[in-house]
Amino acid sequence: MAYVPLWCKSNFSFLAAASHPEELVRQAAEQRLPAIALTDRNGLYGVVRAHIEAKKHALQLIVGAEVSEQNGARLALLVQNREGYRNLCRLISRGRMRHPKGSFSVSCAEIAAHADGITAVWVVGFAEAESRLIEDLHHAFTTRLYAAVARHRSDAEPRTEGLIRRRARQHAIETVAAPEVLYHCRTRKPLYDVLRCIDLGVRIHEAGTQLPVNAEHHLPGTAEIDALYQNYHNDVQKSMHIAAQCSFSLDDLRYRYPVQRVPGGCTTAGWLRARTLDGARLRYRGAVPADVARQLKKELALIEELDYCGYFLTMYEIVNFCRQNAILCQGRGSAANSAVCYCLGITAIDPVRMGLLFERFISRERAEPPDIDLDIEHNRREEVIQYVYNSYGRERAAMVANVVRYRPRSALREVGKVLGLPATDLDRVARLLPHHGSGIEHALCDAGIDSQAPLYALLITLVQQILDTPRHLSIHPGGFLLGSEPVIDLVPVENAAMQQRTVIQWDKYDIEALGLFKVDLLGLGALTHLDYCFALLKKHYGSELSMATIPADDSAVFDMLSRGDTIGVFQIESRAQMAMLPRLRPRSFYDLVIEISIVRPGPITGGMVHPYLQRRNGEQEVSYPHPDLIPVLKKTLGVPLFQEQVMRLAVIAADYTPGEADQLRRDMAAWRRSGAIEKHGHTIIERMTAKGIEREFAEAVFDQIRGFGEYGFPESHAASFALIAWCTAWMRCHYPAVFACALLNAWPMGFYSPATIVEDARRRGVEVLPVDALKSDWDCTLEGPLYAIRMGLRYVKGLSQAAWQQIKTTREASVSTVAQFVRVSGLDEKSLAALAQSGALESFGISRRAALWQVLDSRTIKTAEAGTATELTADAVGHSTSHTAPRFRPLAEQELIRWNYDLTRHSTDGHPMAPFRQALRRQSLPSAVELRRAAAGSAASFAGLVICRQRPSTAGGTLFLTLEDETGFVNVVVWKHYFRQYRALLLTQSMLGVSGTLQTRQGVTHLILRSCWIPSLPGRTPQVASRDFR
Amino acid sequence: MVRPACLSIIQFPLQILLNAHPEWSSQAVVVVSEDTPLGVILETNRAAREAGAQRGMRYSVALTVCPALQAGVVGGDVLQQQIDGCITVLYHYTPHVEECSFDPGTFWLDASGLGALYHSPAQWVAAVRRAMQKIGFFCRICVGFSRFGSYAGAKSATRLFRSSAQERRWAQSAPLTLLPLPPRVEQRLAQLGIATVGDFCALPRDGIRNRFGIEADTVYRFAVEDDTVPLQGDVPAAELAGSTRPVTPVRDRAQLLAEIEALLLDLLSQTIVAGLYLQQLTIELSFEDHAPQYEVLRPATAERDAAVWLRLLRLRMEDLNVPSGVSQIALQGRTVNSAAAAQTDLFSSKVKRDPAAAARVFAHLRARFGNGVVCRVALQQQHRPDRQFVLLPLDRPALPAAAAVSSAFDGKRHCRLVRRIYDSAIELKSRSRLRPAAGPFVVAGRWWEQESERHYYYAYCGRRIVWLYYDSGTRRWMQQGTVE
Repeated sequence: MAYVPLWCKSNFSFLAAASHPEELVRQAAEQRLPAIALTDRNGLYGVVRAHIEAKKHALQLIVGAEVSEQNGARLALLVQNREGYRNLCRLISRGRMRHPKGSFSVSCAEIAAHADGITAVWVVGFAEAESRLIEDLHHAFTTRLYAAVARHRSDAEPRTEGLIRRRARQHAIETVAAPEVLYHCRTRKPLYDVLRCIDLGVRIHEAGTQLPVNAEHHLPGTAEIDALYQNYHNDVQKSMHIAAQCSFSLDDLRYRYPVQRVPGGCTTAGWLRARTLDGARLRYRGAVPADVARQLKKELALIEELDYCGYFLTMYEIVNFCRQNAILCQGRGSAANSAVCYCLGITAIDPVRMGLLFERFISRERAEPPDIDLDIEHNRREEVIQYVYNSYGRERAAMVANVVRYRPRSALREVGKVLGLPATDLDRVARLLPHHGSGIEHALCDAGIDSQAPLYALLITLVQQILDTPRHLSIHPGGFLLGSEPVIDLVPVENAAMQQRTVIQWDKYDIEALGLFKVDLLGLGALTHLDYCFALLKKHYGSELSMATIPADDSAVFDMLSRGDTIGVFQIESRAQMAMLPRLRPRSFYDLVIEISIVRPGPITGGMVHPYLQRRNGEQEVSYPHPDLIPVLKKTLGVPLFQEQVMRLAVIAADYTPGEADQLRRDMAAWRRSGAIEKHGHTIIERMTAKGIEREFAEAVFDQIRGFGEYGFPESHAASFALIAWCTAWMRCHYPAVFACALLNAWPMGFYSPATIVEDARRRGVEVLPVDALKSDWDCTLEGPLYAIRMGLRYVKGLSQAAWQQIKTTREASVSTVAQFVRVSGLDEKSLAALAQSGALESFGISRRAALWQVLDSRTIKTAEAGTATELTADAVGHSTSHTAPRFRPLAEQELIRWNYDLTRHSTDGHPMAPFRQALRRQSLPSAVELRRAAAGSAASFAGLVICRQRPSTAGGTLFLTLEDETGFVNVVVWKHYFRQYRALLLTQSMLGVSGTLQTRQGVTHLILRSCWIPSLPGRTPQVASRDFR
Repeated sequence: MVRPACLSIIQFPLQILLNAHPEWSSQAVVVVSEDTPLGVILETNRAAREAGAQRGMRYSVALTVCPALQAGVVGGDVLQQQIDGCITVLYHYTPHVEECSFDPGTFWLDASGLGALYHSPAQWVAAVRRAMQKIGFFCRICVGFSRFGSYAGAKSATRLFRSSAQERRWAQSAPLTLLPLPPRVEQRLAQLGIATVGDFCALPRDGIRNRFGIEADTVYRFAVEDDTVPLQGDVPAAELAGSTRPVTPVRDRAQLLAEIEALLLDLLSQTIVAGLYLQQLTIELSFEDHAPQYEVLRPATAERDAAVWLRLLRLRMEDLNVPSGVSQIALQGRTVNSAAAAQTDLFSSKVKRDPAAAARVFAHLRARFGNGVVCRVALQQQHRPDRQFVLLPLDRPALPAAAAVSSAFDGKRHCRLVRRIYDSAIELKSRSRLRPAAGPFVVAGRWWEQESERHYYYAYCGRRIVWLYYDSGTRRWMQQGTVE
């Protein structure tokens, strides 16, 4: 007999079910069920995924949610129509918004008030509910209220079922067969139990009856349902009746972008046109070139036709707000292809002059909402976010969610804990696991644990199953959903963990899948860095610069870039970029655009890097695979480097229709998830070769398409970034002290640690002064005529901003001794000890150890009477209040540097390797500078601090290490097999010795690792945390 | 003159951990304060130290320098159990053993007056070390002139000090790390450049107390002001034994009882002489042609009253099956040295019920029917019917508490069938006479222990209802019980 499962929870019920929504839908389709209801716990988190999957299988999806009533009852609310959907979204939002993140409750009256368009199946607590409650809901839902009869072959069920049937008869409510589905197949029971245990915080062997009695909460087929409800076929048939009433689909959602507030008498389109033309006149100083005017006309017409005017005006308003409040911002991504965006001030790149393709941004065929991402200086992004909330209201603006899923490390830790494995073992293994992918068996083996032992074998299986299961909801870095109608009519909204933030229950993939508009407000550290640079320049040099007024051509800057001297320069500071710069030798802005794009998976996997460099250096003739491709590839010497070029290649050389090209773009973006790109391979290669293009080139183009799927830059995006890169490079070249000081204040950002930034500044002749309780501000500052950098107290570990405020107040009292400082500042012992150890109290004329001894007794000092003879005497000699302080040994050089690193993450007293130079020489180990002078191909060894590890997915398992000593960097390449051999050492040691062969090419030196070891040194180096990237 | 000796088991918790995990002997191992990544490292072995793991580090931090670091917790119970074991052994070599209150695994021994037994202190030291090695511990012993001096000596090497001046000089130059300071304090002192005991002792006393707390102050006082109080220690409880080998194997029960009684009385008199109480008696009967038989007797409380023991013995002997002639009888008694509970009973309030009388009855029941007969039921939150309760041994009766009335009780009379569960399920050979009544009700097994699923049914068997299940793992039908 046909039936419809009406009470199904997916893993978007967060630890309350164990199957993905797609799995439930697929299973229902395989069992030839006519429909399935998705009723996640107090939310609609998984419905979009289920909807997309159901469409693939032509299966009816009933949208619903299991809603918890405050007295313990639970109802599966199933949406019949659009009104019902609106009611359900509002009800869930109400239940969520009154609580902090993660909690929910609604009253019976609230459920009743939102009953229109909804069928309610009372799934839990019907037998025990108060009659008044039943009557109220019965009155609200009338014949659309059912009592669920759930059978799972538990011996407790017959008695409960008897009570349910008796009460249903008493209240004239119909019963319906509705077993609770918690996973799509029985084999998921162990995973479900583990998830429950995680939720309950118990170990599996302690859970007992807190877990279901059996594995019968799977999605049953019709035969199973027949057997289960053999005496009550009528109850089963009623599920079909309910399904027939629920005709709502997510496709019924009609979304309108908010109409902007425009002056009276103006249409939105007219207002946008006026603002754009005003902007154009400003950009082109009153004389808008003809080609620009043509482009604007074309774009504005299309924007109006597609009804996107409100979206552009919203972005314009946000940018205007930033301008008015001196917040640096710049549009990124494909928006830079639009002349309208450029004229509105959203982007900074002239797309007409750059020859950028508008269709990459918006196309009529694609009929997809445009996507404008706005970069905002990261420390002021919150101001912009609150502006959007205030501007549109909480009802019409909410942030997009981000689904946090189990990744190998979190999965291992939580599953292992549930299985009762030692937490110390789990931590050891977790550290050896990659962030993504698998490898748990290797990690167990590396940690000295037998992976074949029964419990560990179980651990491996369960960890693999739990991967990608949603763990909880967090907030997207900057995605906003804005609507002309309240957002809560579209999707439930809830409170985020962060104060003053509300978040919808869908993530960006859901938004994209439903074709909704999203505004991305992203934080970018480099803009903060530049803002700080401009402020310092103004303060100390009296020079007012901005991104628009920084000189656009400067040979000194290009010379610096060509040397690969780019620590702290946006986008081109990585080891790979530094190695590429001396080979590419940029001499123009467009070279910088190429530099940014070329060190990316697309060009690398497509094998386009070397041909481009050879052609650029005149080592290879510039040729084109087909005459038709000259306009597409001319800018890049016949080698495709940008995403747009690859797409245009497909159109011109492989005769792709606009629809096919659009599908290619989508598949490129989704390649990692679906693998759909492969289907283009044969078509592209065959069509290109049929046109007379060499097969080798065609295959390389396709490889590149695959690479762009991994991570590729469109030209417009690279151009936007190149502008910021140029500004930061210019600052580094001409104002190294300003550059470093601002970078230290904007940190954490970029590739390098504060220690590396400080060392780099020192090597460039900038004096760096240590932290000082009497002289330092919270941020780093510039001091004296030579603009020395005074390190800020923000770098003293353990010191809070509140403590800084206390210190600032203390300075006004002109204290002269440590004891006075302790008493007046009122700082806690931890902060005082951190100040003493970091050397910030040395300006009181006592050593760090003596200061530490004093502040450790801060309680006595604070309680001592001010001005007593004892204190004055003690203070006069720099001793503690109650006793003559003992004499302490002065810190040795190694100790001093180690203390600096431990307490401030950097050292102004020298590099940690410097004290060991003699010892290293005795072991015939050269410095970084000496190593670079050694002959290419020679065997060499080096010891230094590991400051960066990078293992990009395009490198086939190769690890790139950057080691540092007091003279500079050494780049080390670790091939895959050596990585496997020395994995533990390479990933965990902060100071490492490496031996290998030197490789030098076009001025770039690499040490190719053959072995590595822990150097034997007469002392300890500090534990320096490296910056690791994938 | 009293010569205090100090015995220090090197890294006592670590040795306990390694004794429990011999497979870790060649690996980097640490003892941590708790089994979490944030657990603080308390002890490290050489491999761990060489890899960079240090005392006071968090385990998670140590893992960054030594990814293969093995770790374990040594709990207070385990520690105390091992300390008790050590004390028992040490009493064979000295009349006084004092446990160090702030440094587990360290003991002071009285090394005076042992000249008659050992030719030299060195010989005595060697004998004690051998005895400790036998129970799995490597230790250092120093015979000195003061508690602290001998402690400092023992912490660094096994040695004998010839004079108190030599001891004092040596102690002052000893490294600070030998003192049992909390890792946090040790780190702070190291930061201050305090490297030796002498440096530490030179610091002002109230400076130490104000900055580092009571624990550090205790150690400081111990290092600075030597304690001249004589060694303190408890005489440990002992195992007493006696045996006899009759001239001819005993077959007669009365003769056997007489032989055992004689041994028991002898054992009781030893107990009284030692000032102890007999808590448990194990009787081993060796037969001519059968495996030995063991009988264990436990009274209601530790006793040395012969009448109580003889009554229990006679009850046990009543039904004792003696398959052949008893060739040897051995008695082993476990004693305790705590003050008799009866002394404190004087001050406890009396209740109407007499728990002591009930305990005596329990002891008689155990003696008569075996030690497993007196049990109580503990309910378990488990799904499988045979796991929903466990039977736990009950030594003494608990006074009844007012039973909680179930909130679900509605005062109405429910007609419910009562299931009677068998002690263990019985395999059903045939199901031909059974007619299904209800089921199946499925109960999943503990999948993490590879248990199989059971399908429970109720079935009519004539006029009776039986409770049975099908085990999907063994594919057998079993009867779990009946229904009344």
